[in-house]
Amino acid sequence: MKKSLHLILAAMLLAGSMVSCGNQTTTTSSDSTSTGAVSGESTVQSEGVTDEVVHISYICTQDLALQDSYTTTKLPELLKEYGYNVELELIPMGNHDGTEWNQKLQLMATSGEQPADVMQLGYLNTVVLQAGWLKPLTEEFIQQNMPRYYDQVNEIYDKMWAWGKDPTDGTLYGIPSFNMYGPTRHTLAYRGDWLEKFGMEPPTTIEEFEVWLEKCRTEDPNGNGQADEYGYTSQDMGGYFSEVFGAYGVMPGQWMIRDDKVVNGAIQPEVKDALALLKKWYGNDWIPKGIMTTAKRDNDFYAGIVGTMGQAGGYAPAIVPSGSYTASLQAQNPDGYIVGAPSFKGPEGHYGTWEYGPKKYMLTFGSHVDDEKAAYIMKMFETIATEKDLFELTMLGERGVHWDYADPEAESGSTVFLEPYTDFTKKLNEVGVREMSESAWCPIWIDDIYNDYLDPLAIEYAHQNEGYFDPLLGISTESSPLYSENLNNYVKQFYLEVITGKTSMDEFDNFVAKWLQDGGEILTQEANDLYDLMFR
Amino acid sequence: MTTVRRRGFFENIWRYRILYLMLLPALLYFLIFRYGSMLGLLIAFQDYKPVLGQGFYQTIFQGEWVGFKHFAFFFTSPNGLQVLRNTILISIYKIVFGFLAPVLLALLLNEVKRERFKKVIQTISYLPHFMSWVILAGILRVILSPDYGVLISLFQMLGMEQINFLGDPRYFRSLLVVSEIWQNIGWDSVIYLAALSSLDMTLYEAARIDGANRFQQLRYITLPGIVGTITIMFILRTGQILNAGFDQVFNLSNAAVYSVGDIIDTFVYRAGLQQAQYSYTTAIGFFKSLVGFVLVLGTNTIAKKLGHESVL
Repeated sequence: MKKSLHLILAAMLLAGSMVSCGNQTTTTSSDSTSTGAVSGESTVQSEGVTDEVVHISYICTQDLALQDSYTTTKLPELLKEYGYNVELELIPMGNHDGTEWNQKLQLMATSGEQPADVMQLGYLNTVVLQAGWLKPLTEEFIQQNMPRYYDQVNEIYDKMWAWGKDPTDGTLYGIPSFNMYGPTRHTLAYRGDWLEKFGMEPPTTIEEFEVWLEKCRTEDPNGNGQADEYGYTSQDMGGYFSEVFGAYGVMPGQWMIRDDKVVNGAIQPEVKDALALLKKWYGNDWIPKGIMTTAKRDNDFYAGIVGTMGQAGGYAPAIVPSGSYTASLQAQNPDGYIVGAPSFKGPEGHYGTWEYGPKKYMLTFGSHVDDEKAAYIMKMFETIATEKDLFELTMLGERGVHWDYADPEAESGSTVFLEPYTDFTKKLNEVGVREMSESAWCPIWIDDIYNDYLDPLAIEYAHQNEGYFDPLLGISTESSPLYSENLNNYVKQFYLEVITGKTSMDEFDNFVAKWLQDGGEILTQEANDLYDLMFR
Repeated sequence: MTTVRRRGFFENIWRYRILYLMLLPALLYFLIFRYGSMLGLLIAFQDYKPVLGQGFYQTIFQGEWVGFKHFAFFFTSPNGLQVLRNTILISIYKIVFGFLAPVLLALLLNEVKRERFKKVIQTISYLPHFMSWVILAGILRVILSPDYGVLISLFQMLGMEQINFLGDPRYFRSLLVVSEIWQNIGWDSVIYLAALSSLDMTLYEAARIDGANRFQQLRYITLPGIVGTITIMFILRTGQILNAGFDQVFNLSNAAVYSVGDIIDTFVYRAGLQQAQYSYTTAIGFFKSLVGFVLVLGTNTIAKKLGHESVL
């Protein structure tokens, strides 16, 4: 009997400890809510540091920093100099992968947990919105508390506010952030050493690009004695063959504005010309047999078997000599180097690649956060974005320890991370930084400061290619989750069948009809409604 | 005359309380995680929306009831019918071609007299089972890539047509069946080897004295000896007919083969976990479980009627 009682007591204790573990985040968040007595603007900024510590709990996208990261521990100390007395609490999600991070966030919202005070999201997540996690905001409130950033967003792309709005009623929940390299930041990355071997300049037209494709197949640029090189490829992911479609003025997978109406790029007549060209290349063995099946855009480029990285792979700051893609290429091909060039032009002079547009992430507030605290946090983030020492800390860590300029004597320009912080995970976990244009503690930025840290060559690359980005900024409409993924799969499969000769181009009209019938018509109507509501 | 007093239910429990206490964790596990979670099926009949500050189980009684809306949408959407068809076909192919493969391997291994050779074969055939599909898919890509694959080089040498096994709808389902046999043939044969080892050796001795050859021994002693195990394994496998192998398909499929390779599980993963259509995907999952349940009962009844062992 005594033994049984002991067992039951032990089980009760274990259950109790499990319950308290499960509630950890909730307790923390409600604690943070209870520190609602936030000092207002006048107290904080005119009279220096207040005694009262403001606790800020934060869920940061893809765990760009952790609680013990250098930036998280150092920032409160520096912020005191600017009148902010804060205690920062990062709620770990345990994942640096965007998709898995979002899934965890959704599960947290459905399990009834309370939101953090501040959340940096990759997009306005429907589940999080439905769960009532987010505080409604207004542009006036943001203008009042982040005046410089408000102007900056309007200057970069004034339609970007739609990115933070609920597509069903237009309520603003997220403060959008943008990419510092602009909306057209990808270019076509060539193996510069291959171009040199061929005695070629980067191709500017389809005809010149075909010369490049043929030379890659016949002149053994990697010098291994085998005809294993290709000049161009695409893998099974968004933006496939985007340079070819871009040359014909369309972009499958994106909406486009034509005759003042929103139409889908996948079913436009120009697609047929692009597919015919790709079919010819496939027939000539100028592109791999494994396109969109076994081909890997990045790995095949780094391995020295494909001579370009397209498909929105040529991210401007990564392909410069100090960039991470150059490092990956040179790890396998020590003499290899990258040259960025605009995509080749089509018959009507169109060119460009898939782009994600100006948007980056968004900053949101928990629904429990009152206006006073939200204003305090907004002002703090604008201070971080405008003060050089705070900006440097939160974007890069400590100079000389974690990062330096590529030219150590310089005081502006390209930056590099120092060993051992070149390692992706180490950089995120230990320093709490990733790369320019992504940061946990500097979630918004202003060009007066950040321009000093950008590589001039990367800026040049980022502005040389005409970009195609979704005029609806990728915002999901009500029926998108039901239809869009399956329609995208259908499009990819049809294109591939035409390119590989399994299906005739004559089937294009049937393909369009089926696309419309299987949900495309509903999505097109919703896209037009969304455009009318938020983008006109 | 002495009367035997039947013990009451509670008296029995008290008498064997320590044993029941030992059973309790397993019972609790099934009650909480297997039966308790079934309450979640309710959202298949709702338009589920999370509620701030309320746990899942509080929320599910407040949702808006929509009847069979999500089931109807699945069965009327072209993708729904396609993934259902793919799932059933792939699963049937795997049962038809894959179910007896481990039985055959077990019978062959049973006949091997050299212990060392037998162990080497067993180790080689078990090995893929311990690798995840992420790794196995990587290996298959290296072997089957139409541009750089080992097999393609062989085809070229023999002057044969280059086939993109991973990207041709004509071959993709066959690839799924063959690669699953490759992964599981060794591991699945263990249960049959165990059954074989329990057979009475005197039967073989008697048969040999009566002049039975190896094939006759196989037919009249070995196979009848393990037919019960085969039946039970078949019943359990039939219940899994709508599980066509998420890990395998997820890692091997690509744009070229969606029409033949997209199955219920990959569809549910995309719609449920990635796009948060919780009610819709719960409805699909519920349907899948119901089909499995009916098939297990059906196969079990048939097995009983045929005089074989059953699981229920």
